[in-house]
Amino acid sequence: MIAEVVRVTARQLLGRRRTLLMSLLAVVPVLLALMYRLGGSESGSVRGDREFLTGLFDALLITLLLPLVALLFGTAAFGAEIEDGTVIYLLAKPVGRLRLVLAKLVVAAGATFVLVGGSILSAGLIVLLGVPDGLGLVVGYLVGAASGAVLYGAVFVALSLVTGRALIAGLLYVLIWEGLLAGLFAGIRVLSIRQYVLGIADAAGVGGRITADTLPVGSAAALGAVVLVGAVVVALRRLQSFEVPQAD
Amino acid sequence: MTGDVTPTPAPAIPPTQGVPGWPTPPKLLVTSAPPPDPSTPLAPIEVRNVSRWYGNVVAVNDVSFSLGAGVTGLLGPNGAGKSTLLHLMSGFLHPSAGWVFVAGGPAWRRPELYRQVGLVPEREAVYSFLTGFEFARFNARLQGLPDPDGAASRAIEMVGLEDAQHRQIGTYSKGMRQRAKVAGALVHDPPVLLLDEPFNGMDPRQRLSMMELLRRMADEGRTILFSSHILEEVERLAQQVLVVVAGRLAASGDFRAIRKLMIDRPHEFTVRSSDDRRLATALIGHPAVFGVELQSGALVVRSSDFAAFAAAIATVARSSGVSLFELLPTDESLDSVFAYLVER
Repeated sequence: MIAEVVRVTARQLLGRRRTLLMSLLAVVPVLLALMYRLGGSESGSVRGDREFLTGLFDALLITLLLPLVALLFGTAAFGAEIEDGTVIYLLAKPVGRLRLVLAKLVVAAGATFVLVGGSILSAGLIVLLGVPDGLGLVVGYLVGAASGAVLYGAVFVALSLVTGRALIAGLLYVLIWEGLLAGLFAGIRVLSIRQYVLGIADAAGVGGRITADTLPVGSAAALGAVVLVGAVVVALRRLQSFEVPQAD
Repeated sequence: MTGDVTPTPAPAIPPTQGVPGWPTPPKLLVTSAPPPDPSTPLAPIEVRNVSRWYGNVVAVNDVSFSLGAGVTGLLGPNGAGKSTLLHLMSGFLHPSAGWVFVAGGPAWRRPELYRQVGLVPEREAVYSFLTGFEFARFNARLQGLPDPDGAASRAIEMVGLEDAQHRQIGTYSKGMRQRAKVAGALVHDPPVLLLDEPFNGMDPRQRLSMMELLRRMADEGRTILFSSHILEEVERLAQQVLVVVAGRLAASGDFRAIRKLMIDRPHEFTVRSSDDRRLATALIGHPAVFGVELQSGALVVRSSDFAAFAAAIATVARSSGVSLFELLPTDESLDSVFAYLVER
């Protein structure tokens, strides 16, 4: 049953124009990596390569691309069906609501990771091919992206069931809360998915810490788990009490 | 069905009382009637003192009925509350007051309900990227049927979509999309079918074929409730009707009795002629006419018999030496028919 929901949701998401747009955005870091490799001033030095790639992954992929892609896929997983009314075909079935939430989360997180992870892997291989310990950096960010895809995915799936303006609410969270306030006030870091992702990426990287000043992995994983469970519970409760909008 | 052709007064609504064996209603819920004893057999659809409001707007107001096997038409003008009622019965709205039981249990927050219920929503949207067959199979798989492909094929055949089953639904006409939706609702052979405006967009041939299918399914013992704002549609298919007006159950019971009420109601015509006053004098003596009123530039005639008046007006005018310029029935909309039923 879950497989069928996953299949249909994936087809639904992949057929949207937004997916194409996100795919094009995911190519940007790869192009930047290519440009660096072909002509960057510090290209070729181990230190320069690591610094470039850390900056690319951190500033562009983890801070911007990952939450944006997760936002589009997460909010569309249920949101698209709620918007056009087809969600009724999904909900008018004797299927446990938790299974539906998990199926949607699998698709949202999976699609996010395929795009962002693919971008990280491609850019990393282009820049660090042949550099000692280079793979450790890529692996660290891949693990971070995977955890971020799940966490952001869960939050945005839940958000789409809480409000009809999930896209705007999610954008505000990503740009204002994580992008601006978390940078200004250290206390907010414990309430920022981006910080959990960086903490996990840092710990998963092979060959030492890959970024400085991140949350300890234990805290990052524990806080991430709380966010994940909380988001799933909220989504489940909303779905169990789902009402169609007023029709007449 | 309860209550034959009876307008339903709204009783006072006391606070909710919980009943052992049934889920505790949410705090918002108030009801004028206790829920039925779960040990006693229930009709496939039981609606008891149900109201539903959105803020200050009351969409459904203290409606009660029970439905057994057969086809029942849910009739009412647009915006009367038909879809709200169907959503309450299909578990997609919780009642603000009262109780809804379908297939032996509460409709709200009970996903197992959908093993027993097939639902055709009014909204046209279907997964446009799926083919008709894939959509039916999607429904069969989520129902957990052992042979989803076989069930999907049977459902597609029942609605006559074989030729187009491997085309994407996005390429279907409106009528074909409706049939695909019905196939999805029938795929698990449910004993209760709820259909919201199922004939929308169907051509006359598709309409006839769908009516035949629903009639056959009702004969096999299923409980089928369909909504429509088209009187003729209901007349051709339903033995029983529920008439909803402004959220209230205006009438329920045998269709012919309600239809007769509709036919017997006074009809109003606006007549323009060469001499309205002389025509009024002549018409008032006719047995089919019980009231005339001279207005500026027109004559308003009230008749108890539409057909008799329509047949007599030309003869009366000719014998009075009056030329008729215009004859218009002024109040023949469904809304006015329903309003008449409510006012009785």
